[in-house]
Amino acid sequence: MLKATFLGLAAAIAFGAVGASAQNQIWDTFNGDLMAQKYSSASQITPQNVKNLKIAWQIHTGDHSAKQFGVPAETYSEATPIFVNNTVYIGTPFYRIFALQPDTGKVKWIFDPHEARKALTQPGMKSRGVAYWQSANPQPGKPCQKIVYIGSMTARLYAVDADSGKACTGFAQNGVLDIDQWNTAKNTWPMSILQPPTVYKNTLIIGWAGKDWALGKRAPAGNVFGVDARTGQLKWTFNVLPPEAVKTSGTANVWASMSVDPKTGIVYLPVSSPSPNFWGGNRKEKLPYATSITALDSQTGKVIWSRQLVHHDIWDYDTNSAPVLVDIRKGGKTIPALVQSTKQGFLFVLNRMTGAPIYPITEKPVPRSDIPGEADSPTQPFVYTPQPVVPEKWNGVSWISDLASGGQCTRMFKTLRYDGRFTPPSLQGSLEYPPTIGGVEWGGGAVDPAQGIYVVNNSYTAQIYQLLSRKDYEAKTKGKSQEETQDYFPQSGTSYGVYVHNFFNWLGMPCWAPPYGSLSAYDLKTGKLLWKKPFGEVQWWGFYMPKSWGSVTIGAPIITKTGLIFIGASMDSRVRAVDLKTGKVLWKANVDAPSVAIPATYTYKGKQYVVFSAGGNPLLTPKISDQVVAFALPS
Amino acid sequence: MQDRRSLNGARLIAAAAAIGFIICLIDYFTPHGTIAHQWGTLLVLVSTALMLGAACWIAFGSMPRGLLVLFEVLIILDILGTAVCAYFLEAPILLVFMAVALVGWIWHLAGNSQRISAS
Repeated sequence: MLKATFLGLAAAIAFGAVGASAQNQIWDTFNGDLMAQKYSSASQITPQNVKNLKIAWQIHTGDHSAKQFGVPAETYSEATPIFVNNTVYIGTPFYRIFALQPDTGKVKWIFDPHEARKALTQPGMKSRGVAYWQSANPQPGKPCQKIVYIGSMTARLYAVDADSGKACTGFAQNGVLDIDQWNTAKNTWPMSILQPPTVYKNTLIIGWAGKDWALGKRAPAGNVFGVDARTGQLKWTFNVLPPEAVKTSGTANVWASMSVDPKTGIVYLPVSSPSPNFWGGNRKEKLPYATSITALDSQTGKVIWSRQLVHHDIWDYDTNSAPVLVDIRKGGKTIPALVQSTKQGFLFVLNRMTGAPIYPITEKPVPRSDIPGEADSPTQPFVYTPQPVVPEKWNGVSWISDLASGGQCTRMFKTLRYDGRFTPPSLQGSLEYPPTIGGVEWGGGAVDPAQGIYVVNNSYTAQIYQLLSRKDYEAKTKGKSQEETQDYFPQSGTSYGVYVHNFFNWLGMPCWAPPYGSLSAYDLKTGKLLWKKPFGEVQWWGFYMPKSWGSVTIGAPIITKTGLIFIGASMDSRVRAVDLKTGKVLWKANVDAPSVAIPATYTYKGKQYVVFSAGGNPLLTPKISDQVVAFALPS
Repeated sequence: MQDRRSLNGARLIAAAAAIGFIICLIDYFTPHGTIAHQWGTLLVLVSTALMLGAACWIAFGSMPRGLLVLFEVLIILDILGTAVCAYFLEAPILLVFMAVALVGWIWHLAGNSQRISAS
């Protein structure tokens, strides 16, 4: 008995010592780390105990709107909470920063820039959160040795002391950097900083978002900036468009997150499509960096290599997520690789030092445009290994939607042009599958670097792109309200406007047959698909549709060392844990609204937390919230 | 005795419908609930209210035999329809109470048929 007591005491002391000395596992960037792996070595939550997860804490930031409370725009809550400096930081759609106690959610401080609550460049107010920098040689007692950054729709980047929440006055103009000073077309729109900057060493790499579907000529050029993290001084500019193209086009900006190889200092840019998005007759110059993945030296902005993923993009197939960097063991060699998910449904696996394909990329002939003046490309790059997340042809008309609408879906389809992937926009209307809304959205995928397993969620959606002559465009939009014309985009300065809308029947039901979304796992060593499952559920009038339909998804998965995938992303306002080996859902919980942000996981004082921002996205459902919720195992 | 059994069945339906109605009401107004402010929830709110009214009328009122049979048919359709809705709304408690209502309906009908055959 005495011996047992002694052993118990010794064990308790030993565990206590381990607990006290255990290193916190951080999640210090939008994608978990610079390599955008969305992977954590946290191992407390396992496939065996994940069913016991309970809410550890939750907060409501108050920053949400469904065009109410005097706020004229809806909110999109897309911010990944980050955990670093023993604090959880989260940005809100009103561009406020909340600093939270990691084990209780108690607010440490709030930074409020008092930004305008207007949707200047986007359909609503949105933020993808904050970035963090800390000095390699911190000076004791001096503020702003650790800085949290948040951008705004008005093109301002705020730098805030990570400990106190006060503005870092030594950064740019009293802690505010006006990115719009570098706008090449100032009378158009501000270069909105919705994506937090990428931080590498003492450099912030900053891209921006606009509305490239609205303007044709003279939209701001999609330049990317390298800025000193401490002072806000410009270090370098990467000009995405050649000088001659700035007069005829614009954008080709980097609005999504980027990744960095910390060993080489190479930053990888997912470059979006040029403007106008759906007609390229005005922009016949070669734009090699548009809709590309481009590797730069993070300290100089010099191009190391670039690979275009869509030639002469007229589908708005922006490269829209940070490529996932991972070393692949293949044929006895370790290859420094990256995986780029795309809106068009291809997964490009490239050597990240050279841009050379690890799995073949084939230039294939594609359907040609019949629009006068268009200069479309006769071929486009195709990838068949790994298997594309969206199939070559759509699944056809949904018989339920067709029946419910009295055959409207079939009648509409018969009027459309559809020649498979890369069907060009047309005057009659073209069916696009996948369209600009994906494919894979801005969250991208996650990777287990030890096993070389890549996981990605995707949507199966169909949209109609109809070009309208300037005269027809004016006739359809003149004198109409903003609500009535929300799917019409002028492409000003060009010969054509465009009508882009979901392929829905009059009841608002999708006309394309399910599934609507899935989650897939690939073995990067072989390129083979390990499993693919419908993911999430769709609700109509509150009724849950069959699980085999899945759900359209926005957001991304994360992976933990124990073989768990955590993901929100679906329309059904649920968050889930999925078995990495099988794709089976092991745990799910209801949250206030769709959790379209990338989740985060961290350990603090020996306990693992999984945090979801469940604020919704009006593109998915009207359900909006301001909830940030952390789950953990009971003590 | 036969009448009492018959009435008890109807009363059980009424009780299950009343509880179902309250559950739906809570679901409809729960902030950020999975089926809050949904047409489907409103539908089952109406269907349980109708079930409650019809069961109460049978249990506490009097009516001609033809109308009674019509109500019995409508109630079973209401129970089954509400149960299907509850299944697709993923409202398991409502589903349980529809099962209770079904038991009440069978009880009512068994008592009723004995009464009719005895008369």
